[in-house]
Amino acid sequence: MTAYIKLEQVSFSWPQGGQVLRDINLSIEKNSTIALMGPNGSGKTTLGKLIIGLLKPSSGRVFISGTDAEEYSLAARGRLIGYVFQNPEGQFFASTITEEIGFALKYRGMSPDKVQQRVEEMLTLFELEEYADTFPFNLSQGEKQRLALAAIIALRPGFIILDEPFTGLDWLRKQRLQEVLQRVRNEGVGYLLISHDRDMASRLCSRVLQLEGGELQ
Amino acid sequence: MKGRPEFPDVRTLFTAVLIITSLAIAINDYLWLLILLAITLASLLIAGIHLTRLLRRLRRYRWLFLLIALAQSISNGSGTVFLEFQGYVLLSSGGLLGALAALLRITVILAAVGLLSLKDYQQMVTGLAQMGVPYEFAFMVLLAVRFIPVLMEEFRNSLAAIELRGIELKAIPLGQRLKVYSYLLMPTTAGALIRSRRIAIAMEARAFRAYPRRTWLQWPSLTGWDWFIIALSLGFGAGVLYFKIRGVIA
Ligand SMILES: Nc1ncnc2c1ncn2[C@@H]1O[C@H](COP(=O)(O)OP(=O)(O)O)[C@@H](O)[C@H]1O
Ligand SMILES: [Mg+2]
Repeated sequence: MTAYIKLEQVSFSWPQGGQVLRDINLSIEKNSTIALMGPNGSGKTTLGKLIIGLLKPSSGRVFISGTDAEEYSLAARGRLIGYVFQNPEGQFFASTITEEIGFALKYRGMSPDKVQQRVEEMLTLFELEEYADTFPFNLSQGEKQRLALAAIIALRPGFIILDEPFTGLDWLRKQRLQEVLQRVRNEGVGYLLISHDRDMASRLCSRVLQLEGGELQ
Repeated sequence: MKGRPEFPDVRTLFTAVLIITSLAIAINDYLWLLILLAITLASLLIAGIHLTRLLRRLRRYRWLFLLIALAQSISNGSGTVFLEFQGYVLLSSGGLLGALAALLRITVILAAVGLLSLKDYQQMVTGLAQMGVPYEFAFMVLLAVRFIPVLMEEFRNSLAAIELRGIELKAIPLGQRLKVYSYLLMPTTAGALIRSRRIAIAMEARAFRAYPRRTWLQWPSLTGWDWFIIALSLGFGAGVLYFKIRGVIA
């Protein structure tokens, strides 16, 4: 099976200097579940952003679905890979939760009935029904985290990158999220889970990567 | 504490920038706008500021340019008419010249503001206070100015977040796209409000304004060169305005 996401000799430095990633080679299949672990500041978020195209590698190449990722627009990459930001606030733009979840579906041409149906499904799955008309910025951290995930899962991407999705969740919500990810996995959708929680990583992922000193261990 | 005078002083820069931008707004004469641009660019080069930064800024505002040029071109229907639609003049020689003047004007203003990059934020607050502006006021104004790039960054991030949901913004018709842009103002303003609330609390916690007087890290004085540039700017500004009022310059 060919790799869905492939990194070839990818390095990344900030313009001000400071190399974050060094010669990363990585190959991810579409239905694989991978955990990316590493200390704070080791470059996990940077790696995720390089894959999704929010950052460009200083050298090396990224391939998605066999094509050089440079050839995709940001939107095209977003259709191939769902990306849940580490800071969920960074991805909200609508004035209600319902709209936040339904927005992209509507603009991607889904009929209003189906959008409504999908939104309700997500509100139930992520226990957000009572906040349907709330302004996303007014949610608690855990609720924001769930909304961010709901808005991406609603789009049914073929692969998902989740940047520390368990941060700010209480024990019960962690279990729920775990169930959601298990369900996603059972549907054959793969994910790259950036997380600090070793137990969670080994439970939810078939492969655990460790990022340290700019290199994958 | 008295600081070592360092040419140019913030007040000198403020005076020069204020006069250049005022003239850029007041004057309609191409030749004089060009002279103004030449003077400003020369000052930037003498001050050792790279013009690439100005170019980058110009490129960032290219849509605004286009919009202003378009508005000018449509509202000014004088001269030879090139394009007409149901009795409305869309493009004319007068309109084109008007658009050109508008572009020149904005370029001069952006270039002049670039001169301020010689000074940091603290120096500017001090400079304003030395000119008699109340400290709190100076502080607030500069805080606001400093956040503009942050807000723009935030705007771009939200734009990326929308595109990452698989929406091809370029493919959406303009009317709907404007609606999407209006969506983006939401997180940008919400973010700004949240941040300003945090800053206000942090400042109170550090006893901002708890005492009627404050100590300044530096209180630089003006050099002879500063006085010379200030006098030159004032003289030049007054001279040009005089000719404008007399009708010698458009
Ligand atoms: N916008 C930025 N500019 C410069 N350096 C940054 C920026 N964002 C992150 N960094 C630096 O890059 C390194 C990796 O950051 P990041 O990928 O966010 O780490 P992680 O997600 O593993 O905690 C850190 O040292 C961080 O300080
Ligand atoms: Mg991170």
